[in-house]
Amino acid sequence: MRVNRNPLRRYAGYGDDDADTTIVQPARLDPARSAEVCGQCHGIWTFRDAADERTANAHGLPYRPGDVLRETRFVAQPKVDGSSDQMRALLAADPEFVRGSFWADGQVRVSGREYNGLIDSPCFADAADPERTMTCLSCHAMHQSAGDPRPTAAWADTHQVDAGREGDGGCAGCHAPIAADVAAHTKHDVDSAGSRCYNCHMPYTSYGLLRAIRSHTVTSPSVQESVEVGRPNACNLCHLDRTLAWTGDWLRAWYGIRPPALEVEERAVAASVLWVLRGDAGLRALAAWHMGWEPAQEASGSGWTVPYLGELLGDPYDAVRYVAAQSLRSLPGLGNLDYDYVAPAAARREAAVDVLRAWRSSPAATERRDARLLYARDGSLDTAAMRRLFDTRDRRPLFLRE
Amino acid sequence: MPPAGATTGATTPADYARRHLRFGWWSLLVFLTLGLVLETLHGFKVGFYLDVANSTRRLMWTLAHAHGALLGLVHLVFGLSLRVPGERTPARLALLSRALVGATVLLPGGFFLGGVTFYSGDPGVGVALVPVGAVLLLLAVLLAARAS
Repeated sequence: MRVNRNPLRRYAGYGDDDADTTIVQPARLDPARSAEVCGQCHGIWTFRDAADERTANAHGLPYRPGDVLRETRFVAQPKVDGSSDQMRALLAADPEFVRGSFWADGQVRVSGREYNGLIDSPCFADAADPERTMTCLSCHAMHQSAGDPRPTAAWADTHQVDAGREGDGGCAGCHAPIAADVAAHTKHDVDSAGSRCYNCHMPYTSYGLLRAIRSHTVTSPSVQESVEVGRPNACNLCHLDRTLAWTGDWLRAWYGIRPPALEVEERAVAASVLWVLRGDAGLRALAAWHMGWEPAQEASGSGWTVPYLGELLGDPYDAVRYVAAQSLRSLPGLGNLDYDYVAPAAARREAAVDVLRAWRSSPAATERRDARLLYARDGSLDTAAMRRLFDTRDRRPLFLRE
Repeated sequence: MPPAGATTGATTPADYARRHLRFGWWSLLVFLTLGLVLETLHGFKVGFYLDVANSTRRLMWTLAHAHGALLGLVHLVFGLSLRVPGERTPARLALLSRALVGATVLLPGGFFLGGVTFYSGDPGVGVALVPVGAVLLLLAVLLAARAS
């Protein structure tokens, strides 16, 4: 900055096409340094010690783009440093530090911390060729590209995904053989949501801003992650009406992935129903959001979700109630749902009862007589089963640090 | 050798007074019109002028409007002040007049050109006219002060 206080130098720079080497351009840095520029804000970190914190408070954060981020702070990465002294000290001071930001296996679960997701991704962590290493700029652009035909607002609405990087464009550059025959890999219709790379490998398993956010840890869907970690798998986030056992069978048939042992409910009840009734607040919010997600509604239907979303209108967490109401508003006939998620409990209950009453008298109430969704053959809800599952809900307080 | 001021047709204080009153009123007309145009751009929220990315243009054109209008007033004051007797030699009066006219062209003109094309936070190269105009204005004010 100091050198560019000289106006003659600045104007000389405007006259030539060479890049100004005094200004860091993340695209010119190596992948690790480039990602750290974004990660300085979009990461979960803390000061290494009290002295660092005092210095930062007095003089500002020491990190400058192009520096090695970890030399200036402790970046939390439970998958790698879960047992480090620093992490132990953090957990001693704040026992919920990890749970409030990460799934049990160390994968980040809150929005705005995508750097932590990236550095755990094989496309970044295991990449040897800088040209084929995933960084933030593999998909995102901080300034809309000159050739991007979309209006600026449309580009911004994609979370600033660059032109040509939506759909499968962000992955196809490195995974050309798969891109050449997408359906052979996905086993889904090539034009369907099930054939989009992001939907399977970066599903919406993070929470923030009152919605689900794509995970930025590139993974492959597995039933194991849902059973052992508690994280919803990509298959059941679209196939909301299917069980974990169903997903396990298809993953074994298509990809040879051995499914884990499942409980009775996990074999018999749709995964999303389990997440709504038994899951912690974060999981309930994700399940509720997906019930309003168009690809999931197309794959799973939507009428049957009303009683579950109605149940979540009474959730103890404001955010879960908000997400549930938004998903209800995406359903036919409920676009104008009059529900205030922060209204007094009695008013919220009344609104939920109204929703359920209207739903019971609609054809949607009996369109799915499916035991996996806890509907009896006569179309009535198996409220006893719902209650049993509800009684096993994870009620531990959860503060997600988005 | 022609008398001082011969190239501009002004030779006496009265000639200069007329010249600067005329110049001042026309300057006011031009730069107040510019102000009206800028207000219109505000009124219609024209991005070319108001977008954050165009803040340099907005600043430069605002400065052009303000400096032009104020310099127009300076011309009027100078024209009127010439009616008051003072210690003015024809050569200094000619220099003062030219410096003031030059400042009135270069200062707002430089600001305006600096906003036509610009480089992010830096105005376009036209802004280089501004310091030249500023020096001429200082010279004119100095000469006017000495002649008063």
